[in-house]
Amino acid sequence: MSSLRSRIWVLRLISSTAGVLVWLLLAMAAPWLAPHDPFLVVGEGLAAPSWHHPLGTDLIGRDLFSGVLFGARTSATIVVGVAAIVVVIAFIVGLVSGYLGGIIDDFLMRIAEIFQVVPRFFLAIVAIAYFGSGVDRLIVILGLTSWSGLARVIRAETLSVRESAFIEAAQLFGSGIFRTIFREILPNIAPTVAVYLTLLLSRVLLVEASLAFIGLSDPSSISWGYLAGSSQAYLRSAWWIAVFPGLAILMAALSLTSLGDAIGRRERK
Amino acid sequence: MSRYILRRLIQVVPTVFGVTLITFVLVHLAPGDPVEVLASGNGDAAYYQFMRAKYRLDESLLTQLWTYFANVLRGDFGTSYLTGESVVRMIMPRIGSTLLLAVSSIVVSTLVGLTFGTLAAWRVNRLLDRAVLRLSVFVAAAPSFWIAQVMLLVFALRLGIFPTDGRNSPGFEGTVLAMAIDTLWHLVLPMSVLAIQESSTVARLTRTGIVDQLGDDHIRLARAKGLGDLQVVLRHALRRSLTSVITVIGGRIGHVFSGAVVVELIFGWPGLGQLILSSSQSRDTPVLLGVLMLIAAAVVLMNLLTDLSYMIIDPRVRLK
Amino acid sequence: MSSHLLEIRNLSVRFQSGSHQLTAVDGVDLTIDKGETLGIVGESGCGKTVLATSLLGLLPSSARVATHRLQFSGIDLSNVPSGGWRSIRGRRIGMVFQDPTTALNPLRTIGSQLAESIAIHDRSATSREIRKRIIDLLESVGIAGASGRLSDYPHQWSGGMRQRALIAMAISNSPDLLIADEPTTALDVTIQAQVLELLRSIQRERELAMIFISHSLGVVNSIADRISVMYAGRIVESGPCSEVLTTPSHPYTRALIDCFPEIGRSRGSLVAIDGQPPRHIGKIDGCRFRDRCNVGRDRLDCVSHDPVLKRAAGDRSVACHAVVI
Repeated sequence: MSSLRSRIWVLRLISSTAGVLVWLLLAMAAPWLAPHDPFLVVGEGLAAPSWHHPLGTDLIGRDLFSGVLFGARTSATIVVGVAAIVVVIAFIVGLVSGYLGGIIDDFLMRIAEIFQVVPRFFLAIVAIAYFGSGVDRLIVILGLTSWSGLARVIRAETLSVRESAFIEAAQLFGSGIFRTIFREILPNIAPTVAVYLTLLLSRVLLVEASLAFIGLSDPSSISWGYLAGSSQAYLRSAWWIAVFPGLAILMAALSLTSLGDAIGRRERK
Repeated sequence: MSRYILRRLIQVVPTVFGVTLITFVLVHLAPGDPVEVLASGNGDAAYYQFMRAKYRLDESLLTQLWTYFANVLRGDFGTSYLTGESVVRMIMPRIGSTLLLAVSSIVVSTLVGLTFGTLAAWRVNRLLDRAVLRLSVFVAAAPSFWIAQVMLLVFALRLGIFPTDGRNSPGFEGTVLAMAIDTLWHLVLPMSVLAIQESSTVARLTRTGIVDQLGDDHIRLARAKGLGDLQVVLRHALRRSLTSVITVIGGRIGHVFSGAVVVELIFGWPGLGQLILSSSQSRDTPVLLGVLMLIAAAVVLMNLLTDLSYMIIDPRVRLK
Repeated sequence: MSSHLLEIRNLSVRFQSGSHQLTAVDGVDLTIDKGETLGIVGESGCGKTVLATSLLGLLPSSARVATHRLQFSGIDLSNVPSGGWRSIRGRRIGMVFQDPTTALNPLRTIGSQLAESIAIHDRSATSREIRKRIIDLLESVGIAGASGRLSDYPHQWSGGMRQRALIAMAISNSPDLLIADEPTTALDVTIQAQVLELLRSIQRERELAMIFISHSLGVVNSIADRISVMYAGRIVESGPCSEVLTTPSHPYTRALIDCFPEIGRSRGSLVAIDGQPPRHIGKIDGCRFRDRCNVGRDRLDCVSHDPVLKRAAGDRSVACHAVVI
């Protein structure tokens, strides 16, 4: 890779990681950073962005800037939660499937297929409607519908790594299954998994935002999508309520995809 | 070949069955009593019991499932818990709208995506190429409702070029052609929102598919024959990358339908989206099941269509 | 004005990739006249394909071409304007590629690909005329029943037939020069002979000049009038084919011949040349073959000076310090 290209790549890697980190930091620090409680009425309704309210206020006068900060917290919580569930399930299923093969492999992949075929969005709508819209439920629902793709990737990688010579060599030296997995397989599949995971999470973020938009988010926590959804009726008079939360989602999703892309490029080059 | 089509059509059934099964189970695992919806809070325990029996909610899950499918095969999708209306009658007028929206966005996005992807590949690494790539990354990261709202703001509210909602202008009457044009006018914005997202994916894929081939022998040969760059791309490289592009479009169909739900809500487009939402929120199970089954069937059928198009493009598949 | 059909003087091709530069062709001199077949022989990686590709301007954008003279029939190939290649490629110079399986587009019929070769250069031809010409072409390259086979796809034809189709495409517009880059390498031995015979007869009938590139001396021997031996980006020996192969001057040529028992005089076990061709051509002092050469390994001039291709007796040239001219 030429030096100019590698410099650009490093820049991209840094900026996208920074983007994700900023998001996480804002999320964690929201209660201290936000000037107001996002649920409290603190100003005039539908006030345009001003010094007091950098992003304006919503219909009943709640500060949008605080809303966006707390929204970061909600979405970060969901994304991290989903990531945890997805990683755990996908690794277990993928490693077992790839390493053991045979009937177990077939069976697990069938199950993965079922989860993959059903459009996540619709399943989530149904699940939320019937089971409630709390953040914890949302995390579970989104997690359960998202693991199958990653499981397949892990399985494929495990399969290819399993066949390589150095695994045989390691086993010749007496490594047990777990050692083989942790020391040989995992480091090799880590980059591919990281790329896939970041892209997956950005999609999850968008799905969560859309669900919140149509009103299926947890009413006790502010969500970017919810803010955008509530703006629908006042679009004409208060465009800021729609634009800013959506912009926040865009930037968060962009950071994730750029990060995944940057990691992926490193592997290719 | 027709046997293959038949085989694939038959495969639609288990998939749709699977989706319905999952939904059915999910719905019945949920807390809460469906009878409450039915009775709308009226009546006493005896009434509840009566309703329960009438709708067979007192039977086991398996029996209910069985009855449901037996009815479906006869064309009876049940009646709404809320309004008592036939589910079929509720769905019918809305199918057309959603299909119109979904299909038109898929067609438009495919055409636009292929065009821009080809142009970007033709002028690889130049301005157009970089612009296409950058833009598609942005678009892919943007929530569809945001794009929809921004477009609504700019084109409908501020500039007033397009209507803000609905499928036809209220109270509009006229010839078939006039009605069609009015519908199209209303269709433009919602379809564009969906199309923008899908076309950026298609464009990126097309571009990559073509660029990956540029070092191949058959491209070298085409150039050695004297073909200019654009012709080489169009006549040789494009066709070969079509299969992967179509595969992805096929895989995105489910996504298009999900996006359509949100878009329909923002633009007041009278399709299945509104129905899904309202039936979910009111726990109107028969309606919900009906709509979901329909969408599942539509997705699977579209997948079949994309598979068939492989045969048109790649002769090697045809003759197997 | 040169009397040769193609004249190359001091052609160099370098590839620039970031901070790396790779020299593929380093100062090559070549001439070819109308109606003659020039064989270019060398190991993989010696630059022969890059040389051929540069004649049609088909090198990737990272390539840098430098030359004193690159004249083809009055046209300066080192300085072709952007639209100018169109009238050269496929029309004045035709090229036959090595692997007919990858060179043909699997998604289009043979007929349409052939028709394309003709239609590009003859806009006024009607489809009927084109069809007739294609059928004649295919039959002239030995494909019987061509009229019924135009709608076949490449995967339906055998390797030998595909190569014939490629040849048909290359000669479809009666070019003056045909470049054949290892045209028989990907084929079975029995088919190889047929295709070689085909090329010979085409060349005779149409008075084509042909550059035949191969790593196999045996194949080149059966088809070339003159031969140029290439090593590490340079021509090291050149002359009439039969003479060079019976009385080779350059140590490398001699070593090559020994590898091919059917032409070589030694009847013992197969001889391999020790070592590998150098990877970084531009950076070597002295003769680049010296590490593998049994003559020049220790000679002072071989170590310090890069030998230049010099005229020898008759029509021969050699680039070697150890050869007395």
